[in-house]
Amino acid sequence: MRIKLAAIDWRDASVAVAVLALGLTGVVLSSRYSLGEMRNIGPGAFPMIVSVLIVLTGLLIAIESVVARHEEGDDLRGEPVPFRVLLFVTAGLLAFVALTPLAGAVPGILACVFLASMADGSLRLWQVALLAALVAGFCALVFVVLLKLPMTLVTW
Amino acid sequence: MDNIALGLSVILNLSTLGYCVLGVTVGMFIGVLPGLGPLATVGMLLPLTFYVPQTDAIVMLAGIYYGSMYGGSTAAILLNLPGTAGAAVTCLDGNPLAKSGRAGVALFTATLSSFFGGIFGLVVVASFTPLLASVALSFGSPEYASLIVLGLLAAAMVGNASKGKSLAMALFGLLIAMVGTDPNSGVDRMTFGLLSLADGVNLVVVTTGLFGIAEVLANVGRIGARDAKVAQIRMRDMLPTAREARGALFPALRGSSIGAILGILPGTGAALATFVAYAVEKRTSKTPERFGKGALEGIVAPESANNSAAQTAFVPTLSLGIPGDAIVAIMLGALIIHGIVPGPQLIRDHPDLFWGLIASFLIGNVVLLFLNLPLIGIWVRILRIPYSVLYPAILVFICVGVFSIRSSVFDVAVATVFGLGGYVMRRYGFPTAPLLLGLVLGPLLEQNFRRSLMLSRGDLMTFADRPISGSILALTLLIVIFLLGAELRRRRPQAGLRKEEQR
Repeated sequence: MRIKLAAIDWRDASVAVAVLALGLTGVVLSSRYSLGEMRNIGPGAFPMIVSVLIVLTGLLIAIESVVARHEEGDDLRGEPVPFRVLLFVTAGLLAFVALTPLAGAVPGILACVFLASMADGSLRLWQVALLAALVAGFCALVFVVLLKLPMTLVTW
Repeated sequence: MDNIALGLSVILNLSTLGYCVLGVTVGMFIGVLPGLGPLATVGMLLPLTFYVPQTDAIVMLAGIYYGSMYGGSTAAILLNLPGTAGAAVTCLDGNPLAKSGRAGVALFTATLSSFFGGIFGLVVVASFTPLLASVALSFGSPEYASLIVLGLLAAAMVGNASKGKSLAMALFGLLIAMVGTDPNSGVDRMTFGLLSLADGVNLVVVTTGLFGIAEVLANVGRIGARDAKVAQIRMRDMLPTAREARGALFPALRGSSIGAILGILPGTGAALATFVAYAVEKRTSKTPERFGKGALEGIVAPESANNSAAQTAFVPTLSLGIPGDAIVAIMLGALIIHGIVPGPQLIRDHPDLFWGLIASFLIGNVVLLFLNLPLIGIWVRILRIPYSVLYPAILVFICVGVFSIRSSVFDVAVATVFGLGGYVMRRYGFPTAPLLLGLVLGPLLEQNFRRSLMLSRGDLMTFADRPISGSILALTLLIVIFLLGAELRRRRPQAGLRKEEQR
């Protein structure tokens, strides 16, 4: 069976390489732990089996990229990468991570809403401020007052 | 009958009923809203259930799941935008009906079909689960290991995405499950020296990342301003004609049955059931050309199928301890957190929990029926909440939910990584649900695999020699060979033809 180069899905072929790399990383990591013996397998054995299987699926994906066609089931494929969304959503989440231990959950929430809403950018500043206040108030009321989660709202 | 009475006695108190109603209302709400699915919601709310009695917690989480199945059809019909993955097929005939001015009929039919499917599924759960559990009491470690392999493979092999990619995701989930202290030897595995990873990667962290954050990343800027001009829908515009009503019975029965079967199969869930039910309905119809143009059966079959599947997904979970789909997998995690070991002993040891849950399904479905039809105006208004207001709130709830597990911002950072990773995976056509199943089933699989080998003194043949385990593995092998063969035989046709082939 001759395969034309144009018929290969290069995108999938590169994905196959990534999966292979993941599997090989798994093999290397697992090999640090004892494999044990058949009647009493060690902590490394099961991860090793799984990693080897991942390597095999990498090969399967490589074969698929040449031979088979499948529905992707997701329409994100052709779209340009939304750098702005990725940047600001991540920034919002990390702001919560950074501020909460320092200043409490409320500053973390406010920062998260402010940064995240810049990903879309369709809200005006006062709308963002109102949204942030509402979300923070809701969290304080429901999670801390009603459900009594152990969460510090503001540290001075 | 005694059992039903027991179930009702468990849940007929203000607290449990309250959580049941709260669960289905939240489910309905997030089902109506496109861009927020039941997976992310259940994941987000899971930490909160640590503070709630166990039965109430499960009743509420389950309510969110099947409630979202009701809500999903609303946006599908009115806006041609599925509120949940399980409602994507409902768009095909629901939206044309709405465009021709019969939105009320479509909504009414969808709700009633959902109710039919829900009750059908509930009967299957109540009658089938105890049966399966009594069989499963004789299962040993090898049987469990084989069943889990079957479930993982079924999850990866059945579905639209590439088989290789799905398998890779399921295996990646297994690998992530290995992170943390190994319970047998006490060795810290793959923690990269981080103390925060010694307990392993938390299920909630992965779920909210992969399904909550990744979903937001994919949707911001894509779900734009919605068409707010949804007409007022009055009750009397909702009734279908008598002929239409009669014609809906068999599609509802077929849809519910398909949903029930796919729901019980470990790994396959509600979304798949709707596709199969729609395809079957179209094939059995005498007038298949009406489908896609507003055929009522095209709403009845998938809507009854997804609700039926959302109920029967609990069958393998409650009888074997193996989740029927990714959402139930999270609830399995919730049960374990509450100190209940899901498995064949569950019905025997916690009959109140099992029958209480069944009774809550009944009450929840009735509540949803009344929540849906008379209050349709409110749900239509909820559809108008712009996504730009919604997603920052979703992100905050994810942060707070993840943080509240053990007051650790490290976990929020890990969830962020999984969110970005999940987004990349989606762009490259990797389905994320198999990863979640792998993560839940990983520890179970490893424990049972190890124990089997210990019992058999290192003889791998134990998995094939034992009759039940051997049969399960044979079935697994057959499925793999059949599906891989089908995949590889199907050479790629041209892009345009592919679309036609799908219809």
